[in-house]
Amino acid sequence: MEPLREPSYFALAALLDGPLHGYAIAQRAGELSDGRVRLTAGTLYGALDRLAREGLVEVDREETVQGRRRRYHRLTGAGRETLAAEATRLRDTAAVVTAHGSFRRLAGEPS
Amino acid sequence: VSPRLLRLALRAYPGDRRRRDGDVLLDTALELAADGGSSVRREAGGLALAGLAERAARAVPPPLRGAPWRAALARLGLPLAVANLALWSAGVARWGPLWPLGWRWSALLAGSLLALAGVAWSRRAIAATGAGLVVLATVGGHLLGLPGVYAAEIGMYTVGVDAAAVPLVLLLLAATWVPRRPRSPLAGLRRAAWAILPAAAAFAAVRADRGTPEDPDTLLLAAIGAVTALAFAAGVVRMRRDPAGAVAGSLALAAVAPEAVWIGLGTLGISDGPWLNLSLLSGAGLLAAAIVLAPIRAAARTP
Repeated sequence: MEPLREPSYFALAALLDGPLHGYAIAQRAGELSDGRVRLTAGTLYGALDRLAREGLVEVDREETVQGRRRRYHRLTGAGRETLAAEATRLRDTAAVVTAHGSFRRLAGEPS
Repeated sequence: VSPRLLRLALRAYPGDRRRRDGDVLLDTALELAADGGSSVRREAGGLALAGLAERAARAVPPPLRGAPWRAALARLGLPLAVANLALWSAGVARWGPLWPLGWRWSALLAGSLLALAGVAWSRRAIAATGAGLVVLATVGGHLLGLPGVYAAEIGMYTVGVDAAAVPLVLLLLAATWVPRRPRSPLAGLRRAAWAILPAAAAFAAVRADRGTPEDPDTLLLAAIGAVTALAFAAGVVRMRRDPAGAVAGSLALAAVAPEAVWIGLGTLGISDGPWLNLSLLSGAGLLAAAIVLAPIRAAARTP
């Protein structure tokens, strides 16, 4: 399984609570990543298109709110499984270092 | 927020995509730009880049679209930077006036060092600047008809501009797509220190043996060729588990193939006219083989 890119990972994570439109996905991804992932519309829809092609997300509905077109996406079953697998991979990857005795020193924490 | 710039950026997308999704893209960009978390210029840049990327992706034949090109280039960054520095170090040891170096040699060595440092520290701008400098000093200078180091026939860039362009463009692409991973100065220094060793060894070996023209640098090229061939073989064996490795090995082999064939022909005493074309054609053939191998990706993105 190929690792997910960070924007895709946080876009999928943003959809865990239910369908969202593009703007809300970008906002939620920013919150979840502590502001590290700042998706533009171009990056976001590029990622959503790829994820849709791979069957990880699908279009839920489209609405027009205050004259603005909004397209809602939702996670598919495969998307949820892939996200869980990626989270497990990241946890295991991090554990290689965090379980090491010198981690506190590496992380610059006081011992 | 004025949508004019965003509408202009939207033109980067193919027409059918614009007609289908243009409103959604534009409205999302407007909302993101309006809420203070982004800006019109940033959103316009994002739309333009995504649109151009989509056009570029459509230009690639369908079987190649799914190949892990970026991951492969990320793998190639450090080996290419190391090989590049080692070759130019051997080159300057053989042909270079050690002092003063002259602008071309200075640009080659400084560019190679910058590319290596950028890759070692995961600093994309530094890596790309270094690789760009090497490209300018070799292929660029040659295309402009500038005299100097290129004419002296150095290392893997000896055969011709076509052959030189492949590994250099590969280096430039790898440097431009260095993965952005924060790396501590110490970790970067450790990577760079190991990476400089082959260059130091190549320089010392060639410098110590300037009297016998064929041996040390041919040995260096043979070593690079052998390592590349092994990487390719390992990539093919592990293709199912590691598609990015297979693509990386294929690209590297295709990049050095013309020179490998050229050197092979040279050892047989054949080195003129049609044989040169043959070596370039064989390189093109291997490049085609790499392109055929590249899309093989057994690892679907499902658990």
